[in-house]
Amino acid sequence: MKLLSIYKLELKRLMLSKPVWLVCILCLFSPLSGYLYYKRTWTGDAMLTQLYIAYPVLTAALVGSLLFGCISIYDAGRIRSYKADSIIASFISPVIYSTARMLAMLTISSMAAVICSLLYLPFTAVRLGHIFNPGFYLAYFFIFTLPTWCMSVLFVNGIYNITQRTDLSVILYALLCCMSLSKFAENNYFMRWLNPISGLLSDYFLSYWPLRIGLYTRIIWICFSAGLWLFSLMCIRKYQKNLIASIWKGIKKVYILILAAAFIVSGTCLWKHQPFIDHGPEDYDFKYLWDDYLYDVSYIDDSHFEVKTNPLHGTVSVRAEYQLAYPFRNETLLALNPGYKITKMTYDGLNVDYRTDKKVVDDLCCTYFTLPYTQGTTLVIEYEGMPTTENRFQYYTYARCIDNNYITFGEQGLLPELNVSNCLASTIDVTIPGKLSPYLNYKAMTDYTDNGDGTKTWTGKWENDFVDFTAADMVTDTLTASDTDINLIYQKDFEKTIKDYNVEQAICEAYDYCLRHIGELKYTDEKQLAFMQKSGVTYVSPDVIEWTEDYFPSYTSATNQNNIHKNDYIILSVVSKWTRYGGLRCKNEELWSSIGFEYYSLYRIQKEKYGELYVKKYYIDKWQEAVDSQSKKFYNRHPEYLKYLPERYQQSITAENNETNFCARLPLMIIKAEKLVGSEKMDEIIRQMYSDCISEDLLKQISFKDFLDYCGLSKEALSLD
Amino acid sequence: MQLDAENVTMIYPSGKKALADISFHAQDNGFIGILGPNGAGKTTLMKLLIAGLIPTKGKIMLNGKPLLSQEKKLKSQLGYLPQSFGLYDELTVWQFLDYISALKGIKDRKAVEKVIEKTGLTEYKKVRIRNLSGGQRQRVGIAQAITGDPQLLILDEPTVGLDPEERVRFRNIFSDMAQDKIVLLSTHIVEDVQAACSRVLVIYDGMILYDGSPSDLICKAKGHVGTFTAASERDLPDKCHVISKINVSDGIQYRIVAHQMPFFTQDAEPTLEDAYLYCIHREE
Amino acid sequence: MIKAFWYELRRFVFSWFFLIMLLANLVYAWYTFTTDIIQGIAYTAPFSVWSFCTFAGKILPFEIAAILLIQAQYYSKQQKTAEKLILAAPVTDTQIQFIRCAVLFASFIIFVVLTSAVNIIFFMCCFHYYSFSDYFLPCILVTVPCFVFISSLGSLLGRIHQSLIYLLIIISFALGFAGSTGAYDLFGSRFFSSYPLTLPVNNDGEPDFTYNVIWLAARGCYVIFGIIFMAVNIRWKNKPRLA
Repeated sequence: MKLLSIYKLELKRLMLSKPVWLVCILCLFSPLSGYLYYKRTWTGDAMLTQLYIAYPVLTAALVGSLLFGCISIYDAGRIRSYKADSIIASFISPVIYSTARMLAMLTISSMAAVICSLLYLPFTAVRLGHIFNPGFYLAYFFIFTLPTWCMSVLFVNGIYNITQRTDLSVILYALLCCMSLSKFAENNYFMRWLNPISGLLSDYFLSYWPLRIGLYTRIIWICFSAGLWLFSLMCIRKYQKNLIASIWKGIKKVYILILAAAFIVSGTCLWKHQPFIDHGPEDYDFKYLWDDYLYDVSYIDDSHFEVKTNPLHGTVSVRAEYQLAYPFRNETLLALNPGYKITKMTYDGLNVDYRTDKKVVDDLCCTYFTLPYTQGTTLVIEYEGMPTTENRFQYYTYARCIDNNYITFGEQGLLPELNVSNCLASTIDVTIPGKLSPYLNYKAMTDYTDNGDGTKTWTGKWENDFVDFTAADMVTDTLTASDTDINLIYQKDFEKTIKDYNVEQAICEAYDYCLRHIGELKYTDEKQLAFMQKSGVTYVSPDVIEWTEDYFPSYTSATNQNNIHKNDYIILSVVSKWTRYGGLRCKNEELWSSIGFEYYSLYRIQKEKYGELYVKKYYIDKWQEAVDSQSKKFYNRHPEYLKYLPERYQQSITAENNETNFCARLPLMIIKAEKLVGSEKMDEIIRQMYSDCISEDLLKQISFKDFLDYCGLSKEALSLD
Repeated sequence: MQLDAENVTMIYPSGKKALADISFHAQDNGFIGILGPNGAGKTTLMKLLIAGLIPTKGKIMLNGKPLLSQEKKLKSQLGYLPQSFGLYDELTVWQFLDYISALKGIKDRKAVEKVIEKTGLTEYKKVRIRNLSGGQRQRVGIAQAITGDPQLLILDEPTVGLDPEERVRFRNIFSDMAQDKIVLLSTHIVEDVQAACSRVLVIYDGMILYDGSPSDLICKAKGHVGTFTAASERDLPDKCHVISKINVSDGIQYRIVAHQMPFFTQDAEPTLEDAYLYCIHREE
Repeated sequence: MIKAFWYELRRFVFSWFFLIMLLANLVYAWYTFTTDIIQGIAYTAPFSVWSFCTFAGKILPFEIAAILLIQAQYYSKQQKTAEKLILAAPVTDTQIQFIRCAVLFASFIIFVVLTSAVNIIFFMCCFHYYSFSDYFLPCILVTVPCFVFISSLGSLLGRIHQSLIYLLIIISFALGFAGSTGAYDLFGSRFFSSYPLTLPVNNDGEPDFTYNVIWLAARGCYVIFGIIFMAVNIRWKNKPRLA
């Protein structure tokens, strides 16, 4: 009997099978568990798309896979358990039968996925309202659910073909599932085949980056599962031979072996050469690329960049032209995002030889080149590709994003960095979809040319090394706090949240507080501050504060596990301008950091607004709880045992302690100091510290000892124990 | 040992009447063959005798006392081989028989060796049971039944899967054992009964149609077995049962059994098989 | 009977199935140890009795699942056909049940000892900590009642249908990973991670290990219920049956 006819018979049998129906019905209910019970993996899962698309779909992928895995094991073992295998084998080849059975189960799982997606579409559309995008919803569902369910079927059938035992298959499948569910795979996109992660979704910056990486990871695992299944066809027992003998016999079907190897090799290559996340360190290692290099003598007179974005592929191509004051004499270093590939490098029209080091340092890869001996000045570098996300921030999916709705490159994500000390002037022509509004260094770009194909080419210029380019459907509100203009830039649909949370008032109040209690901002020429909404990793600089939509949780504080109250994050961002980039920059010591002053200022601002009882309940008590918890921990009471732990545990404990010290202990210590010296005196002290630092040197950092000296207190006086 | 079944009726919960008011007696020794078609009640009778079932009516006595109150005593003297059975595939032949002898409480360390030799499993004693053929597994089943030299041996289709030589061999073993033990053998192979059994029970539709010696059964069939030659099958007389047919030069030669033989038939000397068939079809 | 016990044990222990289950348990034990236990439970040392009890409770669902999988084989079709010969032997059903319980218990002990060794060997090698005598009694109190209860329930359910044992495995996992924190927590891991927080601390900053009366009573109840289930199971078998 041919494969197709057996497949039809098996499909009909499965569609009449009660256990299969039960599994399909349970799969249809599986997204419900995502609505009702979800695990907060990141701080910002307040978005509606996260709650009503991501969680249900990802939960359905997990639960459905397990269910289809179980039913596949049951179905595969059925023949043997009823001792009908010898009868069936007398008229159908076991290989063909196994293939037909697997294909029939794949069909059932695919049909169930399709029905499931359509079942929840109306509810999701209603809940998401105007931000619902049916194409995105369906794409998300089909990319994460359907392949995962199919992979489960492939894996189980493959495992069963190899073991020929139901109980062993259950155990091996369980181990495979545990690999994906373990903490070792927690933040790894590529290991999680069963319970995929897609990164944080955004309600307001709809991007297909999660879908791209999701599809990529699904393809990798489909390759692995298909390869395993194809290999397992050779393991199906025939002629009463054991596993090794069956494989040896099966090797004669060379095409199966080649196909299996091709799938597995493809999967491996795809994994190894994935273009989304760089291969840098997983943790922050405080290593900066330019720490190890000296700047060359030359400097750049001006530079011009032509940037063409391809939102469909998520790629960009750039032509960078530099006018050098003097040619580089020695081998020079060019640092670029690891996702880009240099296609051409010329100097005054002459080709330049270069070599690229694939090692990632500080989110950059280095390319080394030596200019040909000539008196010329024009260096042209062309490169293209998809900018990668930093490995340590891989769950912040929108840090670099090139889409029809949102384009951002983050820090170091677009333009190369040359080994020169300064660039005097830079211009850029960037081509993006016509509906987006671009911002260059947080200022709206105004000059553009309509290309007539739905895209526009915008022209801008800037005068320092730093460049930030973001394009989305944004609006700018100008606020005035004291004599400073604050540009609040946000996505157009976010306006209601801005009003509901009184964000503008909160920014102005925080700004006013800092001016009154800390001091004037003295380091900017323009009295202008930009608050820009982004999605992903945020950035703060002297003139800029980036913030994300998860600063404003969309559900009540009762479910807010991080106890974020109202505008806490925005207030902290404002204060950080005075602390991290202003005069109150503190030395990073074990029990000392600028973050402590930020939280102390937050406490003061909220106390002014809501009163003593409020701040005691939401800040002081919570911080004290965190401090008490920290002192109880075993490795804090017995640090001598730390050395016995593996390094990653030590780092994890250190990071935990730092967070508690900076965000809870330190503000409580400052509050205690305030109680000892008095509020007014404390304000004076802070103003004095700030002013002393500003007047001396921007690089001066305040140590804990300095603070104690200012207060006239001892370390013991501020102890919380 | 004395085994009595008095007016035993067995009705299953599904309503099927497997045995209807049968009575049966066995004492000390004897090789009793039980013949009957499928569904006659042979296996049910055997299960009742090993206390695997409780009769709906009637009683079964062992040495004058109710069987169910002496289950342990019965099993200490019982060797049983069911029609379909499983073995522990993970163990070797020796290990499995050693395990069974441990369960039976047999202290004689050589008992296993003896029974392995008796059943011709010596070369397989270290082979795992999963690697044995069907006939070898059957031999293991017989071996576990005769381990410990039980006083009562109940065998349900024991020679299934054995080749003719082995059948003869085991028949002889059972026959030897029946010198001083009760051996009950249920089988479809009439030759086994004919060759070795001193007593035959014919069961049909839950009733014992005959209980006696094979020779007496044959005598009863005398005059009811005959042969004739017919041109075609259309010439078969009514109310007779064909035992065999052979194509000959002038048609088909039939051997039939009937309560009233047609005039054109020639009397034939009945065999045990003929007698068995006559016994069954007479009731119809 | 001892010989029968050894043969029954040998059937399961010397098999690939047992080995793979043991490996799975060891892997999970290592994973639990390196992710949770090593940081210390409820602010106690990782080698405290509290941490060990939490560890024992966390890996218990896997060990119980392994035991139930072995138990399920007693109710498989293959076992039922083999039982026809076993039941013809002069062993009572009670004896057979006891042999099976002994086999399951022996297997369980193997799992518990080897998975606990993961903990112990790490502390000896890395922390140079050697005082493990305090673990013995708490380990028994955590593991044995759970085993008695679940395996007896399993034998009762297996009698009805083999697939009910698989359902019991799923329920056990659900109870183990999402169960209560109260003293009646069957596996005990969640209880031991929350109960020490309610106790006063000693000079070392840790609460001394003490038994909670309600928890002990709950363990006793589980053992009693387990014995009741086993008695019902044996009694059921002793009733007249249809083969």
